[in-house]
Parts: sequence; structure tokens; C-alpha cells
Amino acid sequence: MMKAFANIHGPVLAHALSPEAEPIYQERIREQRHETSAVFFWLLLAQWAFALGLALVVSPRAWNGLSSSIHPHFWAALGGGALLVSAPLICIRFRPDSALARHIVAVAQMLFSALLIHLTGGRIETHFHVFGSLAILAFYLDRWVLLTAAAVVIIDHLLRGMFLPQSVYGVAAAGWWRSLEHGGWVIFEMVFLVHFTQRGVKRTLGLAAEAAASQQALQEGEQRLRLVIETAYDAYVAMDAGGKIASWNAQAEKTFGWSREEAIGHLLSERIIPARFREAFQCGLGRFLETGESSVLSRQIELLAMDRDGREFPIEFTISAIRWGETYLFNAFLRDITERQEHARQQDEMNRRLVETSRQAGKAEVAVGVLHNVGNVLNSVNVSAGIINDTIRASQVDALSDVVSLLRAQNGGLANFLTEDPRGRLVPELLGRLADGLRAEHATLTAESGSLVSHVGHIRETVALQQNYATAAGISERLPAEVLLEDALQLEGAGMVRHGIEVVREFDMVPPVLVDRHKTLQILVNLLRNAKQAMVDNNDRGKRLVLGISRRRGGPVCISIRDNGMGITPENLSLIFGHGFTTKENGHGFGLHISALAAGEIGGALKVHSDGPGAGAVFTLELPPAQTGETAGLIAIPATSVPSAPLATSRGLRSTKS
Amino acid sequence: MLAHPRCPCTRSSLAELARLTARGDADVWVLFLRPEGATAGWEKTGLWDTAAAIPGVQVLADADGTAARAFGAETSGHVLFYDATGALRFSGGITAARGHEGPSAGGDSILAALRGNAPAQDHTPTFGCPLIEESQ
Repeated sequence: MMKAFANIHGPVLAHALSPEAEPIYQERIREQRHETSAVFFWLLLAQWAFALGLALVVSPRAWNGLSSSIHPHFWAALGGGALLVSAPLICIRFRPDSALARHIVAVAQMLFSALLIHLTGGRIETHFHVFGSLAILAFYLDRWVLLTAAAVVIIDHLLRGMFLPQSVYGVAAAGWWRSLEHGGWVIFEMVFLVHFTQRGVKRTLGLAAEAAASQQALQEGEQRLRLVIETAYDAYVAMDAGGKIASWNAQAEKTFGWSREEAIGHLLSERIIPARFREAFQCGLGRFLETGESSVLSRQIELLAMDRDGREFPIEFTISAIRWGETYLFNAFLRDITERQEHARQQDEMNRRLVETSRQAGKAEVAVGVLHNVGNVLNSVNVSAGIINDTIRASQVDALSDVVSLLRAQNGGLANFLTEDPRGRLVPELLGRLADGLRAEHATLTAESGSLVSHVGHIRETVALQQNYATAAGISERLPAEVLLEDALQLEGAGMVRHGIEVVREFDMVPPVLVDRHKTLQILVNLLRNAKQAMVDNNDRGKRLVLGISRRRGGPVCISIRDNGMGITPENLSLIFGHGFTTKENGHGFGLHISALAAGEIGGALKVHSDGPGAGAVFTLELPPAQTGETAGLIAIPATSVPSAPLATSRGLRSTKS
Repeated sequence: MLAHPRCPCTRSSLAELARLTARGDADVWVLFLRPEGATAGWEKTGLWDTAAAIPGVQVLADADGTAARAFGAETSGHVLFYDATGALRFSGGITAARGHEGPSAGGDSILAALRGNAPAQDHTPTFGCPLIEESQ
């Protein structure tokens, strides 16, 4: 084929074609030539009819006096036309793709020009038929056909110019130069026609190459798409408007148990839809085909499907409808979500348990804080009680009793005893010393009993605080943010003292927040404890905890807890609130996860920022501000949590307010 | 002009005649052949009407071709041009080719004679059907 092609168009054009483009080019050229031949098929017939009509109208009969005969023009039109039409029509009919057919058409067409010129008595206007015919022949995109046609025209003009000048030019005598002039104009047109014919061939070659490339890209795309669909994790099912399966991928085979051969061409409803849903399915399909409306298209839907064994299982699917000519094609991607639903159920259960456990753990953490504080105070109580006990044990009350007994034994001789007896003269001195001693004992007991009362009062306050938070769970209250933060700090205060942490407060004036204070306290205690632990190894650079309260206009109230501890790596920042994530040796990874969940539950959010390892970290708890006139929930300030800076200062922590 | 009433080529000759006589400075006769044996009115064809419609042209029937023979006109469309003195200045066809309208050597010669100049040619070929039956 390439050889034949090269023969026709030359080596320059032949080597430009790829094996994929060549058949496309051949087909396009063939189509072009078929169309051109079809034009000539009818054009030749029309020209024949025109020639006959021309002869009949212009010169139907030749008159010789009274007698007349059919004009020779008519016979020329009839016979010559028949000859000129029959040969090309036979070729077009039986050898449409042959070069011979094209050349015969070219010869016939140019001789038709000659016939018409003759019938019009050599009218110069009829010569335009030559140029028109050459232009139409150019549609063959075959320069050799054009050359054949030009040769016929020139030879015809030369011969008739010499022997039948009236036939071609309408005059009795015509010079040879006239034929040359006509031939020259034909060559003039030929130059352009041949040039543009070659351009047309090259353009067709280019289009064929582009089409081949596009076709290849399309095929690759289709192949890729088929591969994607075939290897998709989801089952892919296509259905026609009649409800029959049109496409069925490997995952569909696996999911539903029907092989491709068993599925394609069968009703989708019979293959994968449980019997009780089939009527609804058919109704929905019918309604869509009738009205174009559907409630299931282009949405993600979960339903029960059925496999080959009749087992029903949940699937998730999306269906799209594609207009396919006059009908529709429905495409569905389906996924068996049995495992996912079970996993989700287990996850929900685990979360529920986790939340419950954390709530209990939160209570326990608060309780531990309370007990820790109570324990510290009880130490002081114990000391005070010991001092009181020791004081009472070492009391000089017995000595006073001895003196009183000695005085009672004198029976009226008390004056002589006090003045004459050496022991009596010592009694006043002894009473004075006893009075001093008892006064000192009284002072000690008074001080220690006061301290004891104070310590017991502190225990009562701490226990009341814990009770206050424990009983308020689940209720949203309007609370000042600084109160929440101070209460949390009070519970973790002992740890701060023990670790020598400097606490700095940077509180802005912000509106109260509307929160569940138990959960909020749980979050803040957890954050404070984490901050404290993050600074454990900070001995050389000090431990500094900055507590902040701020709010941007229109935004949430932000409680920030900034430490200068070990910091967080960038990769851990995105994982830190995840379930089970921890960097502590003994951590469980629940604390921040639960805190983040709790923050969401109270309508807030928990965020973290760190500039990296060693740069410390800041956790920000965003809480919803209570609107002015907010009536939801309670407005309560725990009686035990008012002190502005008591904990830090009373426990030896330095506190600054800004 | 001597003409065959049914000659297709004579239509062009009449058109040229109309162009030449547009100046109105000549007396023009067109004689249509009525061959021997033809019925009366046989010569009254479309060509007759066309010729009669040309201003200044008188149309006559040439019974049995007497005039054609007298003037020696053998072909339809043959024109004979006489000057004021009665001298024949031109004889022949006034179309360039068969059925062709437009400038021709015959037409140009008549125009020159009408202007008083000597015609370039005094004889040109005539294109049309025969006026005198070839068998005669």
C-alpha cells in the first residue's frame, strides 16, 4: 500500500505518513474522490440533458426553404453526449477507486466542454465551461487527472482551430495563435490548481496524522478508563433505559457473585435488588424516563443490596444518568459497606466508652487534685494537733496543784508559813513563774487551734469546689473565663509549687463564656498538667507558664496556656489531638484527644502551636462567649473560686497580672 | 435583409440589424421567405414579429424566394446595403459567427458606409439557413 501511495504522491509525501495515519489518509482521499465522482456522475448526466435541451431550443431543425430536418446539433448532443456520459459512468459505477476512472471522467468532462462550445457555435462564453470543469476536477486531489484534462482541452482547441474553427471559435478561419492563447489560459489555471491540489493533499496528510494521534490518544484514554473501571475498588455497573445491565466490572463480580456473562443483558433489579424493593426501583426508573426527575441521581445513598446467594448487605452507591442519543445510560459505583458499618458501630461504641471513661477519669483527676490539696492541709492540721498535744502534755498545771495543796495544809498558820518558813517564803516566786508558764501555754494553744480551724476551713472550701464542678456536669453556664482558669490552677497549684514554675497572667477584659464548667475544667487541668510535665527538664532556663485570656472582635474567647518546655515537632502538631497519640513514656494518648472532643462538645475548639522542639508550646482553648442578655443555663460563680491571685501567692508562686 | 422566418441563427442577425438602424438614417426592409407551396402566413413567425418591432423597419414577405434569388442572397440574414445613389456598398452577413451577436466585420462595414466612409469590407460570410433550396 505504501508503495502504491508513493507512486501516486511521490516519496516526499509518502515518508511523512506513520503506519497509523496511512489508512486514515487513504480513507479520506478515497472519500474525497468518491464525493467528487458522485458530483461528476450527476454533472455529466445534467450536462448531457443540457446539451440536448440547448440543441432542441436553439437549433432544433435545419431549414432548407419549406423543408426542414433535425438539426445536426441535436444529433451531436444526443450521440456525442451518450458517448461522453456512458464511459465515465460505467467506470464510476464499477471502478470508483481506480485512477482510470478519474482520467476517463476528466477526458469526458473536457470533451463535454468541446461539445457545448460546438453547440453554441463557438461562443466564447461557453469556453468558461473549460475552466469550471478544471476547477471541479481539482477536487479529485490528483494532479495527473488535471494534466490529462488540460491536455485534452489543448489538443481539442488546436485540432478544431485548424480544421473546424467555426465549431470552436465561431469563425470560418482562426489563426493557430488563438488556440495557443486558449491553451495558455488553461495552463495559467493549471499552475494554481496543481499547486493547491498538492496543498490539499498535504493538508489531508496532516489531518490524517492528527487524526491518527487523536485516535491513538483516545484509544489509550479508553483503555486507561477501562483499566481504571476494571480495577476499581468499587463495583461499577452500567444500566440501560430498559433496566438491563450494560457493564459489569470485576469488583461487581466479586461483590454480587454474578459473572460478567451472567450479569450483562439481564435486569439489574433481578441481579442485585432485593425483591421487596424492585417495584419501587421500577417506579423510580419509569418516573425519571418520563419526567427527567429523580431523587436518587447524583447523590450518595445507602441501601440494601442482594448477592447471588440472596444474602442482603448494605451498599453505598452513586448513580449518574448520561443522555445517550435518544435514550439514557445509567452509571453506578457501588461499595459493600458491611465492614465499614460494623467498624463505625464499633467506633461509636468505643467513643462512647472512651468519653464515659474520660469523664470518669476527669472526675478522678479533679478528685486527685482535691485530695492532694486536702492532704497538704491535713499535714498542717496534724502539726498543729501535735503541738497542742505536746503543749497540753507539758503543761505546768500539776505544779500549780501542788502549791495549792501545800497552802491548804497550813490550817491557819498560813501567814507564819509564808513569812517564817523557808519554803513558804518561796511560794510567791513560784506562783509568779507558774502564771508565766500557763500564759505561754494558753498562747500556744490559742494559736494552734486558730491554725487548725483555718486548715479545716480550707479543706471544706476545696471539697466544696470539687462538689461544685462534679454536680454541674452537662449544664451550660455563663462564667468568667478567668474564674475557670484560676480554679484549674488551684487544683494543679501544688504541682506548680513543687516544680518551681513561674506563673504569669495576661488577662484581657473579655465577656463571660457559656460552657459546661466541668468539661472546661477538665480540659484546663489537663492542659496545665501537660504544660507542667513539658517543663520538667527546664532546670537550666527556668520554668515559665503564661496564662492568657483574650478575644478578637467577634471571635471566641481564647484561654491560652503557654509553656517554655520541650516543644512539639511539626509532624507531631498534626497528630497531637489524635486518638492514642502521646510522646510521654507513660502516656495513653487519651488526654488531648478527649480534651479536643470535649472542646467540641462545649461549642469550642482546642488548638496548638509550637515553633518546634525546645521552643515551648501554646495550647489555646477557644470558648463561645455568652451573648449579652444570655439566658441559657445558669449564671453562677463558685463561692470558692473568687480569689484573684491567692493560689500563686499563697503557695509561693510569683504572680503578675497584665 | 433577406431572412428565413424559422432560421435560429437569424435571430442574432436581426438583433444586429436593430443595432445598426438605431441611428434612423436609413430605409430598411426585411423580406421573409415564403417558400413555394407554403400557406399564407407561414412566414409570420416570431422572427417576423421581432423584425417588425424594430423602428424604421418594413417587413415584407418574399413569396417563393423571388427577391432572394433576384438579389443573389442564398443564406438567411444576408444584408445588402445601397447608398443614396443606389450603388451597392455592401453585401453579406452582419454577425461574426453562427448565432453570435456583437461586433462583426459586416456590421462595422455598414456603419462606416452610413457615416459616408468607405467600408473596410464589401462582402462577408453569412451564417444561417439556406434561402434557396439546395436541391434547386
